Amino acid sequence: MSGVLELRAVHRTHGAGEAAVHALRGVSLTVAAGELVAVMGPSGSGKSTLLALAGGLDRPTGGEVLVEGEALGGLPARDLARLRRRRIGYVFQDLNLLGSLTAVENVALPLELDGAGVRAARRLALAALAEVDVAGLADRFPDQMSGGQQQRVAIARALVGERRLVLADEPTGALDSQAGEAVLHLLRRRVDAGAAGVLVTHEARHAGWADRVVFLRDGVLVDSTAPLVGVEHLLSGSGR
Amino acid sequence: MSRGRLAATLGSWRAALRIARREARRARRRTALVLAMIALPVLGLSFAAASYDMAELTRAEQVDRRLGGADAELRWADLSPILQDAWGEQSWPVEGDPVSRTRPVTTDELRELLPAGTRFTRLRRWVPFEVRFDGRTVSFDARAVDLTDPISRPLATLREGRRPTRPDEIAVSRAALRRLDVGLDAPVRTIDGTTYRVVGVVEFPDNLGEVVALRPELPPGPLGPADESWLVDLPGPVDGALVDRLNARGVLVSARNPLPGLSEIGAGPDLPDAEETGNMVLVGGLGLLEVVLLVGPAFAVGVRRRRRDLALVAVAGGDAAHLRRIVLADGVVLGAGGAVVGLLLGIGAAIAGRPLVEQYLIQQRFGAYRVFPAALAAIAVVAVLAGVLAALAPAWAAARQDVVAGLAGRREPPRPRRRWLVLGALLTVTGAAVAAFGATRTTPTGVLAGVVLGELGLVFCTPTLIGVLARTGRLLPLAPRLALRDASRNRSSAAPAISAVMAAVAGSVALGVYVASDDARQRAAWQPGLPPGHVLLQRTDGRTTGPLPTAGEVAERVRSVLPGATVVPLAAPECARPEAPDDYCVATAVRPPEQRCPYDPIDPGQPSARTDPRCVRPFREPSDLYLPALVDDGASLPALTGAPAEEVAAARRTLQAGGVVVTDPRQVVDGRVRVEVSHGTGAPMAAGTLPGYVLRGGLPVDRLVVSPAAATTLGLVAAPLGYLVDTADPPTDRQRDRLTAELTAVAPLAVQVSAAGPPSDQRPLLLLLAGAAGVITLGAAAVATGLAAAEGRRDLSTLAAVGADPRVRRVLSLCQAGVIAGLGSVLGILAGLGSAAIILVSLNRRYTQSWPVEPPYPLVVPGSTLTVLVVVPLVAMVGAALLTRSRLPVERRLD
Repeated sequence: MSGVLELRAVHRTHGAGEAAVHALRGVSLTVAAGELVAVMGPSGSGKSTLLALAGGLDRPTGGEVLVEGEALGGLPARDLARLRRRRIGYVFQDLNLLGSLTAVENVALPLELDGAGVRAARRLALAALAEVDVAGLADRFPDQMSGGQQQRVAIARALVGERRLVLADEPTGALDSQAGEAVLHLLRRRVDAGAAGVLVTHEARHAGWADRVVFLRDGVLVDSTAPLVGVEHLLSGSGR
Repeated sequence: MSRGRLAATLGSWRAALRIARREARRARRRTALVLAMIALPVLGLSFAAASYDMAELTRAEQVDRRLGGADAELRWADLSPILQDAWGEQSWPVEGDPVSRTRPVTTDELRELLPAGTRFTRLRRWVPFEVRFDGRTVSFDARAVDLTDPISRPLATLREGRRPTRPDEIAVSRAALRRLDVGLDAPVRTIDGTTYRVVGVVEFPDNLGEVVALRPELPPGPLGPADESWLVDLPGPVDGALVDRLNARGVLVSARNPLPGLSEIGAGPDLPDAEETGNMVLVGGLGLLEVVLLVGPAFAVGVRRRRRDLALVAVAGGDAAHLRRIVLADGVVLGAGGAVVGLLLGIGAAIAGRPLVEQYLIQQRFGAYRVFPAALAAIAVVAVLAGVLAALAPAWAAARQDVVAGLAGRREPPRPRRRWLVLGALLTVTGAAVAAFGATRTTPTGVLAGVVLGELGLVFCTPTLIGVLARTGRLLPLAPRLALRDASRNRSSAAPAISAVMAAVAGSVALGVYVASDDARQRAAWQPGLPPGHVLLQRTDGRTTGPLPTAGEVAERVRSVLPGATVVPLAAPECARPEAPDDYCVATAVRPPEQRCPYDPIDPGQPSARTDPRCVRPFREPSDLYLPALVDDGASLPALTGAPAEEVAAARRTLQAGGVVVTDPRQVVDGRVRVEVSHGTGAPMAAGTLPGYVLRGGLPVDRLVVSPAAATTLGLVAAPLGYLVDTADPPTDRQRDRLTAELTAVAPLAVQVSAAGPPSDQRPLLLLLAGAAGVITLGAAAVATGLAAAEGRRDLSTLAAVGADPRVRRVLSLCQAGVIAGLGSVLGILAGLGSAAIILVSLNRRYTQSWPVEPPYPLVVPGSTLTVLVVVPLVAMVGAALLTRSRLPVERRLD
């Protein structure tokens, strides 16, 4: 089965010559629909770069990135943006939402940018909010919501409409453990409903929600395993 | 555009406008700043537009004001029959009709032409009414009209007292009452000796100045039929037959409605003058550029603040166009907001300030309340355009930003864009060329277009210039170094602020240099007609009131005002035997034919005339006082020419020997001068060749003084012209007024003082220009410094953390204001001097070839302007320092 997201021997190098920094070196990874993959690794191991490449925010210096079978490499910026509007959702650690838009407007933003009518976009956005259990907060502004609620709205936006790929970068980093668990539970639920997910995290217990865990060190995928209790041993020696 | 793309565009605009609206509410201070800067010019323009529309009367309002309660106004226009237009504004005689009448139509004749039952009242809109105060005669706008007659009663509103009912009663306007300095029921005596009693205060809506309303029975002054009209109340409508009847008698008809069957002339809109429109567009464009540059930094800061938000939009699938739209939407929202605020305030001000504008500015009552919607709409569109243009550069920057860097909160270093520098340099050079070309062709529009283009070019160059300067800041102390680096790092907000100062200062300096140079040129070209400070007392009565008082009498009165002054009588030649009652004689000294300039004096197509020595003019025309040839025995020569005593003595001897004195040596051949006398009637001229003396040491003005004996030879007699006063010191304005008062009692003599230079004074204009540029400099410095301070809070808390003195914050503000105002001023002064030099040099190049010879422009730098422009940045710096709190902030870090 081909994955929703496919990375084939991806390289990303910043700068050139002596000052060159190799953020990713030959990373290959496939994420299928209904699969949540956790990416772990120490600071500077290339986790965030991997996510940026997967969403078309950055371009690889080698290899190929495919989203639902479409190679991102040759696409112009305008088509990459279209792809993000229609197929890819992001959730960051915090400050995911535009402060000047309400929750439902934040969720509807990709749809509206894509030309959906106000009412249609709002209807889909409300449905997405209901799926993450915050339909009641639709008309609140971000600064009127808790951090956990904001992350739920962010997940709703990541998966609104037809989007099937959610890229989450430490989505629980700014939350207390209880709220963090709730957000991950939600993410799991949405993936079980048919989405593909990539979860970048530091914490092994969060990786426990994933179907598969991959480890990055110095830009290289060093291991890939099913989630196990006690995965911390794999990180020993990484300076953590 | 496909439906899908259209929907996407609309959708993204909708989202962008929503974000912009909410952002405007969140960033209140920045919003207020932008709104104020856009609303202020809108306020001024909409005030002017609404006031203009109210002041511009409709046809119906004009007719009401003219006709009062009448159906029509009849005016005598011509002896012969006339044709007229539909509104009675123009008339022309019927061609080929022999003029049989010798006098205008009388009231009784008019009565017979009108249908039975017509009522009418006579009206004169201009009658003389002069009153003397403190030795000065003051003229009032006086009308003779019966304000009790129902027909003419609506022409004026009674404010106080009652309407005049008897010939010796007058009503006056409030301004006239104040000027006359009397109360109601007080007598007023005019200079012709009539005494009137003020019985009421009235207001004529067409003139709120000093107006006097007399009764129509016995209007003073000679009665010219042309300024008399009749307001008529007809029993029926004004029909074509009646108009024909009246036109046949040379009477023009204006009625409430256009007269049937006649063409409407001048009813169409005036075609705007292309030159004037071009200039207005360019000046307006410069104004727009100023607003755009002043508002621009606020948008640039807004974009920097919302880097993460914009990156999030990109993450959610926003492409470059979406991001641009979001920032442009800020411009649309704030531009529209500024327009609405400005329009409302402007209209409010126009309505509230209406009485003041009526009274003090146009001295007329406005028409109905209206606001000129078309102009307001145009102003609103321009305001929105200003907002969008100001957001343009930040919008493009936002679309280019690196999403990953934006998400991480990293700042990208500004990349110098070579193409902007190239574009700027190209525009500057093109602008200079266009201005120079415009100057040689003397098309102000061309010059202005060049200057605007050049300034725009410099605006594009500013960012690079800041970058270059920032690199040289290495050796500076901490605060100025930080300020310079901040300006360089935040180029998107610093560059427009500096450009705004630069554009304003450059404009002010360029215009200032031009005005000062033009002034200096005029001063250089000024030629007093008499030695400066001397006074000419010239008779104004044309010899209708008998002989003038003797020189002794005049001298006595003159010395009471100007002690030590000497008075000599002046006489001009006149025909001894006039050919006709209106004949006059003019005596001129002529050069021998071989000495005359063979070229046409005004035809420009003769460049070789410049090099012909015969065409070099040794003299200039006097700029102030003109004197004809004089008949004199030499007594007036010292006061007339200011020549040295020995020359005057020699000249005197020639005059006593029956000769003439001239000042142009080319008129003398072998010690003799040919003088020609021409008659005003065109009768054959007389001529004579007489002994002549050239007076070289006096004023360089062409003069001819004929001795009494020579005058007799030429068939002339001396007629008193007035007196010449040789003053010890130039009289003051007050002395001049006193002299006028002193002399009007004894003789009809006008007092004219010879001035050393032209009366114009350009200093107020220069200061106004510099002041306007100064205000813009202060504004731009304040905006940019405030924004930089808000931006730099993090740096400040870092400074605090490493132990910086709290004063550093103040010094930093001072330096930031200094970078903006100082850099802007220096660049502006250089640009202004440069453009002025280009314009003046181009003009002068043209003058080196031109015929007739034009004096070139000197390059004069107005000291007052430059002083203001140097002082203002210092004020901005000190102000910024004083207004900054000297407490270092502790930034709460979110991450």
